[in-house]
Amino acid sequence: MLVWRINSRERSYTTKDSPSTWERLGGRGLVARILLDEVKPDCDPLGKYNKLIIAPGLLVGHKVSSCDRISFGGKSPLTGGAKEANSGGTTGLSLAHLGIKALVLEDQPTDDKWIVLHISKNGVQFEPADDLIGLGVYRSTEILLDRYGKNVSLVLIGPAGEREYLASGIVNLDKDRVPSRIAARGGLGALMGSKKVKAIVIDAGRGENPPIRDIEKFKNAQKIYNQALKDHPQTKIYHDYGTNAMPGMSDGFGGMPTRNFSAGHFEGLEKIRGETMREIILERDGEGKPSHACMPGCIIQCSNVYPDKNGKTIVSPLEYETVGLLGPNLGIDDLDIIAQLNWEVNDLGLDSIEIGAALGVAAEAGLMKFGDGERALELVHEIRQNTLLGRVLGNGAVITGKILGVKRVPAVKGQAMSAYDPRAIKGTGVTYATSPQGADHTAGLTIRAKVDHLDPSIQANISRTAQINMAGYDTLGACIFAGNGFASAPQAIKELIEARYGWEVSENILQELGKETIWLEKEFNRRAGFTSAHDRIPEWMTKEPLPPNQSIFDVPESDLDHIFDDLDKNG
Amino acid sequence: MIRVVVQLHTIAQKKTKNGRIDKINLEISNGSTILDIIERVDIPLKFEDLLVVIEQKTVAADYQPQDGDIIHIIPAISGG
Repeated sequence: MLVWRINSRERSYTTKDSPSTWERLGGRGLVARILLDEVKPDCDPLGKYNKLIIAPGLLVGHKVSSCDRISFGGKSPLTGGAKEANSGGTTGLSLAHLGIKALVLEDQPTDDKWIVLHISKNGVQFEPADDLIGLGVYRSTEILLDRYGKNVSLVLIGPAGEREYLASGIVNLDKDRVPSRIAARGGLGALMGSKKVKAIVIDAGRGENPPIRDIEKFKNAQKIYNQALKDHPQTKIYHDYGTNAMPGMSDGFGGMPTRNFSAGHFEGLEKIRGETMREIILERDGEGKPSHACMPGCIIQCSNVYPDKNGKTIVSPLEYETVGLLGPNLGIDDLDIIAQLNWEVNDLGLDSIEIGAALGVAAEAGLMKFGDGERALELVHEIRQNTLLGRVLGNGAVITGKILGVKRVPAVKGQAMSAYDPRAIKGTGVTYATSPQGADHTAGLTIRAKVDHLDPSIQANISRTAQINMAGYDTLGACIFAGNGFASAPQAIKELIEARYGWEVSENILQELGKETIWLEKEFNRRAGFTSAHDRIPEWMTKEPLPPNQSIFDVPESDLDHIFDDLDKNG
Repeated sequence: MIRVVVQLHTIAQKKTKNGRIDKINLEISNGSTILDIIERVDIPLKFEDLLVVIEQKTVAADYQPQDGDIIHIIPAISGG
């Protein structure tokens, strides 16, 4: 597997073997390693010294269910720290089939000429992107697929990334070529835009699976893992209801973000929960699908296609975090409106969590009434039009709060919280506070733990375990839901890695990868100027009780400060 | 006897010709536990795969509900 480096100023590229210290890392872990090795921690995230790093996880390339995820990373334009955001779709598979361990975009053009990078076994072509600039993600995808054929994978940004909005993400195609899988968090779309790269076209041809050292052992481990995943009760839940199975659970704990995180129970829950969404999709029929795979070979199929009343697709997929932040967080209880907002946000290439949080802050400032979906669409239209207000919103919740004079901003390290209020799910609050990534549920969600989520004394350990496991899965390229299969068949990770690479690894390889990754990220953040003062939930959440629990975030600061004390460079 | 409401979530809901059933009103004897209720409602999952929540808190399998409790039986998921 090779490291491909693309110099965006010179329009040149190189391919080289990866250094030995990078070999046993992939995905998020490799992003963190490259960041620490090569990116100046004090650099301008949108300047020439930052790098956009794209790396498939260690298990990517073989259609092992839910294990073909692609990581994107760099110094975050939003948080100023280490950033990795990953997505499903086909990008990881295509890069692995070209033998690419990491793709690193470097330097910065000195002119305003946008390019499309075309990557194939013949190398990298630099092609003009003039006709794509200003276009949304959906139209850009149509043009690119017409130009380069239906079998390519695409990595692209929308107008938000072109304008270097801090809430912009990087979009990938799902297996049906819909630009719907977004590495959304941390403003990485702006980083790609700062390199003047509108899109990366990956043509893997017929593709070759990366070599497997011991095919028999790999197949056996895959079979055991697949069976464990099929048998796990969560697989059926995600298959039938998608991630939007979550509202009943988060609301049940009083943790549903409602009207800019001012309450934890949403009175319109029944209208937006996954059970209702499934009924609507089945009743409307047409193009709608309650279950859909984003990656080839996925057993779970937690994605969906949400149709309008005539059966025509509004958006695919409609996911819990988006429903939470663009729904209850705005007081909106209409899935059709939420789906329309989702489509607009996707087309602009934005992070729906960050934009949902920004709109919630804007609503608190009086720019929309909570529950007014049409007004929410108008505000998103302001972003599309690049008006002054649109630019404010497009730069995320923190900037929106500062400019509009709202102190109740749900964010850590500059990044908005996901759809779990940390005063009700305090372990996830610990993750928000202490993850090097900023507030991010995918860094270590704790809601599944069968514990008292309000007891502050037990949360740090729960969060720590979840964070280490998730950093491990992100390094493997495994979806969070693959974890259900691996939890039932823990030997499978060791065996898949050993069979794939011929290495000998311990039974704790998942945790070892996770610890090493978090140490690397925290070390990058330390060098970038982060201290324990950044590992805090916003002060207002430690004072303002959240109904219905009337709870505050009261996990001791000493627990936050020492959660990763034992990690060192060896993980 | 006491009365409780059992609120069913996702795959614990019952599908009938007349639509899905997501709420069941129960009369149970004093001293009944959560496990008794799960058995009576015929939930097709083990307790370890469920989160049972009363007033925003998880309760154990041997918890004895009180009159008027709303009991959420939630097939657990790891994330959204």
